Amino acid sequence: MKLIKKTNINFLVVILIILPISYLILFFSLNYFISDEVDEKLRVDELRITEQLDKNTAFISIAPIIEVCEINTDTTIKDEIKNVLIYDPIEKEEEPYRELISVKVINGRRYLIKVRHSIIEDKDFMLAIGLSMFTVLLLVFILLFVLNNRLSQKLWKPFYHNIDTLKSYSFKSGKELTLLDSKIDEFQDLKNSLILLADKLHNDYKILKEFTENASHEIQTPLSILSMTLDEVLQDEHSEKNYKKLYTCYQSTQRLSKLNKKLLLLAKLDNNQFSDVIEVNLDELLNDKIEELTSLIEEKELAIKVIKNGQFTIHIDSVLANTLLVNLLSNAIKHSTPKTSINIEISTNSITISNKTTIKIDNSLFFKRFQKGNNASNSSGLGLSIVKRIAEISKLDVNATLIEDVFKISIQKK
Amino acid sequence: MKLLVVEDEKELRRTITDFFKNLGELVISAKDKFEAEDKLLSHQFDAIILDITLPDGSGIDILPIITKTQDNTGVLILSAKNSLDDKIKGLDLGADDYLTKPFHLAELNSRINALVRRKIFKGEKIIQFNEININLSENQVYIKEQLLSLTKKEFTLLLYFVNNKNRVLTKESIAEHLWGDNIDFIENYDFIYTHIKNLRKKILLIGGEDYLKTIHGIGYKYTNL
Repeated sequence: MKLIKKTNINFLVVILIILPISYLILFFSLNYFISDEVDEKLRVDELRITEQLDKNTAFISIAPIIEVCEINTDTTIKDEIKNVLIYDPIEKEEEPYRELISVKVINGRRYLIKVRHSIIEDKDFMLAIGLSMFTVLLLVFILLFVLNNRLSQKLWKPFYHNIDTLKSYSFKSGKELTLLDSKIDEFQDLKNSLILLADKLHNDYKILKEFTENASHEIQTPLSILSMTLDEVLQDEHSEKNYKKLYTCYQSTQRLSKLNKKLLLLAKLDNNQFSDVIEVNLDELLNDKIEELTSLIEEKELAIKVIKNGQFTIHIDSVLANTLLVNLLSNAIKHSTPKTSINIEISTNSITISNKTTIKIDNSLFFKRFQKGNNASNSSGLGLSIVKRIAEISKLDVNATLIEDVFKISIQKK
Repeated sequence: MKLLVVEDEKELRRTITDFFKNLGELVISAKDKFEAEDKLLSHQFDAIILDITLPDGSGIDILPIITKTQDNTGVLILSAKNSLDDKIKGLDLGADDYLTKPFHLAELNSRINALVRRKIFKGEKIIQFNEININLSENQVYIKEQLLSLTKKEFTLLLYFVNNKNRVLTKESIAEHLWGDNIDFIENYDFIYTHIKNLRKKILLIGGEDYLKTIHGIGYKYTNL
């Protein structure tokens, strides 16, 4: 839930609580003051009537407002003020009145004086208060709601902008994180902390990247010494047993240096060190690569079937284009069941390579680093991760599926 | 042939130096930029093997001095960084070839041979091994005046063997020489056997001697003995 929505709901709840309370207070206080005022007016009326009776005994009554009559001395009537209901011929219903009854002795005569004043019906009164309060509060609410939303939009603008920037931010881009300033201290605090955090992470990321590359470079020299020395030792005569041992060492060194080369390539891909982007016709290059690898294909007695439905040309670094295709082809050759065929389908925006294989591997693990197709082989498990990284850099999509015994990998233009 | 090896890593320097000395070449080595400059001022070399990362500067910086002091020499750059920038820069500044560490000594030898032939012995384009004549300008091989028709791969293979005669060449080094970076993702080298078998067959067919010896399942040796 958005903060503004939450605020608005709270605001509404508060209003709903305050509304009946203030309504009751208003009703009773107004009622009290109005009836007090009416009572006062009735007394004034009584006083004026008394003065009038003093001068002129014949007083005309106007029912139901003023009623004056002479009464016997023996009847006892108490002075009082009360509410009564009197029939209203226009409205055709009983209407409430405030009534003052008093007995006055003027010039030896005894008069009963009744003065009435129409008052507002409780029902009407409540309605009037309720309606006006409701209108006022509704107006206040709408006004605040609009104002609040407007203000929020303005105040939260840098916040939302920054959130969007963060969502799309990647350390890989190499760009610095730039966020909007806000006049609100809390937002400004957040912004500063985020920039600080990003800087720190960026630094760590850079160190890690450099570490991989530097480590790979540092490994090259001792590996060279190892490989060359072994190469030299292999030149001499040894017993069959020692030959085998030495050759095992030699092979491991070769494997290590290939692995290191691939790690270095991955590090370089992460560091975006390939920028020799040119237009490459991938299907032509693919033909060259197939020819280069013919020996391997023949060795496994594989057939290569190419179905060409168009030319696949993209803008890509030339070295990477080469690595991408060699990698895809080597992978297909390596994992194909012998004496089957590798099918390659080329269209204007995709290249699909499929081959039969006996390998069982989960679909989600194809592009994971160090995930090997078959654990027994001495492959590095980096091939398809390299394909994936090259594709990412060259704006290509890679999809791989393994359905039963058919492995299918395709690269597509985005 | 007179060679200068500029390499800061002691073991590498010694191995490379010994390797070329055993082949009968005259080798002088330098451990840093300072020593290299000193040697360059007092000698004329046919070929220079130059490491890029030196303790007192980049090997690239030596290239202008080479151009100034040497009349005609081939320069091969060695680098631990397989970086295109270094490669382009080096080749721009007068280097002739580029090799990334780690490498096979036989590969280094082949490259140096090709380089020296190209730069120094401009006229001589024929390599001879007993009755085998390899004509580099025609890319043809003659055995006892008879033309041996070979595929491109077989030709490269034979040249590699002759260049590195009397040396055990592992399957790995042969595969790398013939396929370069293309076999980076291949771990099984048995496929080179077909090429070797075919080459052997073709040589025997026109009456050539088979100098190729199989060595304990690890590789091959091209030898008179």
